[in-house]
Amino acid sequence: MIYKTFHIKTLFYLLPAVFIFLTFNVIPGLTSLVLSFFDFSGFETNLFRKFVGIDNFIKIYEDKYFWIALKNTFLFVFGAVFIQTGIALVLSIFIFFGNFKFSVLVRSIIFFPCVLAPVSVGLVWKKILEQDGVLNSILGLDYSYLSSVSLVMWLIIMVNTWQWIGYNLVIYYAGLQSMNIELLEASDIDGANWSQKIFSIIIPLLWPTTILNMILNLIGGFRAFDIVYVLTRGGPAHYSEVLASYLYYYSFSAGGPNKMGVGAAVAFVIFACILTIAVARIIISKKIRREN
Amino acid sequence: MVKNIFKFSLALLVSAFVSISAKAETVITVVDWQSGVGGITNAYADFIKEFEAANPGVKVEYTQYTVSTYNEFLKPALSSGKGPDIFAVYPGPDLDEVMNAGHLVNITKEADDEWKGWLGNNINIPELSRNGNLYLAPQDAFTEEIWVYNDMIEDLGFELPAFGDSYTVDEWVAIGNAAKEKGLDGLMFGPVEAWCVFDGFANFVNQGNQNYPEDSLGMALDGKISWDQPMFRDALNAYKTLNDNGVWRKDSLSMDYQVQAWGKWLEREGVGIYCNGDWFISSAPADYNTPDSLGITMMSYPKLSSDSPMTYNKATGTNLGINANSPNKDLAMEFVKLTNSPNASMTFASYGQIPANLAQVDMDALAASPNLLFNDGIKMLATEGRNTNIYYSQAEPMKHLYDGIMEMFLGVTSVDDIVEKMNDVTGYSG
Repeated sequence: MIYKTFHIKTLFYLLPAVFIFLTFNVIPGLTSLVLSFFDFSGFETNLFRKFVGIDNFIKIYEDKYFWIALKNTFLFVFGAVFIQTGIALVLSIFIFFGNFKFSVLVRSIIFFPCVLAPVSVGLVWKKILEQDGVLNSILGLDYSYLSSVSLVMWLIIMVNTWQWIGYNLVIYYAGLQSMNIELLEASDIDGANWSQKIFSIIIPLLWPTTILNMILNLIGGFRAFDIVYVLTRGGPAHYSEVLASYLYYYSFSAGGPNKMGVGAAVAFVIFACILTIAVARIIISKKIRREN
Repeated sequence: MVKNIFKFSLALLVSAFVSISAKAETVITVVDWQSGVGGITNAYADFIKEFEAANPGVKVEYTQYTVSTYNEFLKPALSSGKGPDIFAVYPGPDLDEVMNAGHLVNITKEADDEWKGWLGNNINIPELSRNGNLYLAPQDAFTEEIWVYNDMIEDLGFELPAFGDSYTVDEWVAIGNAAKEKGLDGLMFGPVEAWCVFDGFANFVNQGNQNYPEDSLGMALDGKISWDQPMFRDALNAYKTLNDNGVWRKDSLSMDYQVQAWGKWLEREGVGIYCNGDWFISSAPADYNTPDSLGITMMSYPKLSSDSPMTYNKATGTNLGINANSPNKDLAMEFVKLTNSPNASMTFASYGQIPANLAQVDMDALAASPNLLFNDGIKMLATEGRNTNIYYSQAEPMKHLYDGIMEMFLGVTSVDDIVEKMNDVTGYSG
């Protein structure tokens, strides 16, 4: 009886959250999935007027810009997961153990871009990277960084890293503060040098924090849109398109294809990518836990 | 305590009453993408004042977006069935989509005789009509062209072409090279907006169109004729020459027209601005357009060669649709009718915006206004030459053409590849 009361009460308390989750996540998500099988321009009131089967998926499969967007998305995710996390780890260890005078100020400066709107960050960096921008003025060059097919994605990754590295750093810093310092003191007594301490004690102890940072960056990476849109609008000629900007191009872009059904198909691909990685992570985590 | 609760309740009641009475008036919503186009903004402010005075209890809410952000608003608004009462529609593929979705009032069917009389020949304007019925009410007319600062051209040692004439592609290359030496651009260009690329291409094609006035570009987009013809190849090569010789900066490839290219031209970073038009007369730099002197010259797109026929892009700019599902449809129609009236044409003109219903106004009187750039715009619109259609419905081929030209700018595809791809996409079978 007690169990039953608890059960109903629990459900009752969960209702608002379930309602919000269903309204803003599950229902739009399922609608989007269904929409990917329809020819919908975005203007019709009847979203499901013309069923086209898997035509929208075939369309993106045959579009070379989809593959460019997919490749760029994985490149962006790679940058966010490995480069951004890696630099944040190094910086956090350096600042935490460095014990230098202005470490709080340095941390604040590194964290500062996180509080800025990505659109503002994009606009500032656009001014820096433009052909007549700050960088070329300093270097005395006339190079178009954002119109370089080979360079543009790396620049977007750099700007994204610059903005969000402070966020990872703060999480690492919290991890370092909660670390059992006695282990390091013991290693001192055992005569361990700094390299041994970092690679054999600090990094292994920070592993859960690293996983957390990587997952946050991975999810953020797949959802990247604003920084790409503001810096390049997916250009030049779609060569810096990521999946989210490619979705936008198909759905809303002025003078674009006006195919929201195709956009929904792209959204499904993004969902599938994140789901696959999330499931893989759970399986691997379970396996590691079992082995330990 | 009870007193405070009473005060609070009273305040709530009063604010609720104010809110309800504020909502008691009928609101007509008007939306377009003409952000930054001063002539349209000012003219509409006058129309709204006039309309609200004539219709007590009716309020008109006018919102402007940029071209790039317009669909983000319009699509969710229309598909939710709660779209604005009046909204601008691009007369290309968007018109077909919006019309087929049943959002647009058939103006030919529902307009009264007075309105039809004001529209004159515009009631049959092909790019705004489908199946012989007008769905969009034209507001302003324009010639689409290149604008240059006269003093910059002279500083570079070039002569301005005679009115109505323009430079050749090669002359633009020479101007671009001279400009680069002074740290400037030959032309500011905003190809992120697809129309900026397509409209110039259409002009180039028409210059080489041996069958003019046949719409060869329209036929090619329909797959009825091959893309492997000199008129299409020459148009692509003209673009390639301008781009590869740096007439516009490489950075242009990630620039939009309405904000970035136009903004940089206003800051005099480029001698000319590509794909500009009379819609920006009212937003032209005031120092270069005074009643005493005009420091800006408008000219058509680059000529393929010195003996190419003069070809002009002439069209209507803001084209308003009336929401067929609006609860205020009659009022919305009244408002749009007002914008097509002879008085409205004069209002547009007074703000330097060339009205679409030119038949309703005295052209000679118009072309003698103190706004010298506007006068040139009127003259340019009356200039004889080949007229280029810039509004087509074939979304898919146009997308591939745009992508092809942009890739050609980047050097990752060739003219041959584009021609082959276009034949493939349009289904031309030979």
